[in-house]
Amino acid sequence: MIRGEALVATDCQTIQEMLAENGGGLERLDGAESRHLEVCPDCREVAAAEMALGLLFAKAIPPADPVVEKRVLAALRPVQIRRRIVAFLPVAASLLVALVGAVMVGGVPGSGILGLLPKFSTQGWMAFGTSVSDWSAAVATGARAAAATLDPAFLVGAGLVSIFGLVWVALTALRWRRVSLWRDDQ
Amino acid sequence: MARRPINLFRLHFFLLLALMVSGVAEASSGRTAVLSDLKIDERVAGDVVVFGADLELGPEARIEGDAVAIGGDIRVAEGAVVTRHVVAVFGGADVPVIADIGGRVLCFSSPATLLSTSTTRGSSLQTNFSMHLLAAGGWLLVTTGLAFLFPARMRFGAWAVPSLGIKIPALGMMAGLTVFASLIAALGLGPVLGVPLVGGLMVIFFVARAVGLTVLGCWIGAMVLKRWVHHPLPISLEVFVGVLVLLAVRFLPLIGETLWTLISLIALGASIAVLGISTDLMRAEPTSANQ
Repeated sequence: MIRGEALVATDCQTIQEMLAENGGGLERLDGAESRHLEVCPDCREVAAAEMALGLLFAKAIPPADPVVEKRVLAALRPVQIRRRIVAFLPVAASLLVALVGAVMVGGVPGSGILGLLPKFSTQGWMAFGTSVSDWSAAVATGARAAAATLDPAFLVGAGLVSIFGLVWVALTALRWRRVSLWRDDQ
Repeated sequence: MARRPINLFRLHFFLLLALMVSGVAEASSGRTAVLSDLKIDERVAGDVVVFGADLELGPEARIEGDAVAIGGDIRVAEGAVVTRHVVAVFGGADVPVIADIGGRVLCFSSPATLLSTSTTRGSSLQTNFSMHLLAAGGWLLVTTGLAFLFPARMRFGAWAVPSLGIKIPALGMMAGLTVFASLIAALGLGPVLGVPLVGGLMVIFFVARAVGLTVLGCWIGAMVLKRWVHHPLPISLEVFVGVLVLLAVRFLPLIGETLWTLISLIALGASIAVLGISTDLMRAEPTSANQ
């Protein structure tokens, strides 16, 4: 067993990540890491596998024959379509749930079908429409009352907070943009 | 010597703090309050407005104007008088039948609970169930649709959630407070500018929440499905399962709405994490692999 098992396990993970990033190349490893590679069969195996994979990609890309490429892509198309259909199934199921809800609220356009629905559902959209108009009335009342009662300095403060908040959120998003998702140390 | 850059996080935090303190201080005037409950049991000439807290009108209260609570509830005691409207936006209103209200009682909390305060009180149980089903279906449709249309971005977002950890709810909380401050600022401009601005703000908030819920749903759905299925699944299915779990939490009695508010704040943070994902990073991965 290699000395300091826990330390070596961490080293293995770090070194294997570096090997994966460098395609199995050893040039970016320092002295200690190279020595670790000499005594660790797992890391040597990873280095060999990454190097073989790199060679494979170097030979396979770009494809030599465009006709072969076209045939391969054509053969993959049905699989892609099947995948898209399978991926769409949850969206269709969601639509069905929403439609059942809408039907129960009373959102069926045909009066014949509407007649088959229970009485409560026909009231649904009327109440919904009333509530939507109530919303704008409520916000208008809130706005009038807020404008009349709140101190202008307080409103300026709220505006400043909004602007600073927006800038801060945008800057945070930009800062996170540079962080690799699989690396915690950056 | 290198000058330290301004820390926007601290600046924003202190501005928010100052806003809250000034809001609480303003509550002492008896007419407005921000993030602090207000109890009135006397005559007030004009409107009473409360943001992010509850408004309680005692039996001796006489409001010669509107009584408004935005992001809180209104409780009106028997004998209280309000000469104009009683309005609760993102909250409820408990108004007894014998209370003297000159205008209307208007409530808006969320689409799922819209009808509980509307005119169809007689059939509220059935219509509430229908509205809950419609709201659940709506959220499922929007989130699975986003996952279907932008699989790579959502998948990267879901991968970012565990690595960013506590930063996501923290950012969501700050973003939520910013939205709240923007709401105050927009309403303060009056009805002409305030109503469309609040409408626009709500649309932005809804879109950000939908994106964040998609990311959270993908993360949760992947964890749930991983227990039973050991091969790659479509991201839309993971989102469907994950959002179902979140909606189940939302419709829990008593604590459901509080937990949903917390989930919404986390979703806001997650949506910013998704916006921050480099498109170069996504181009490195084939999109079809994420379907």
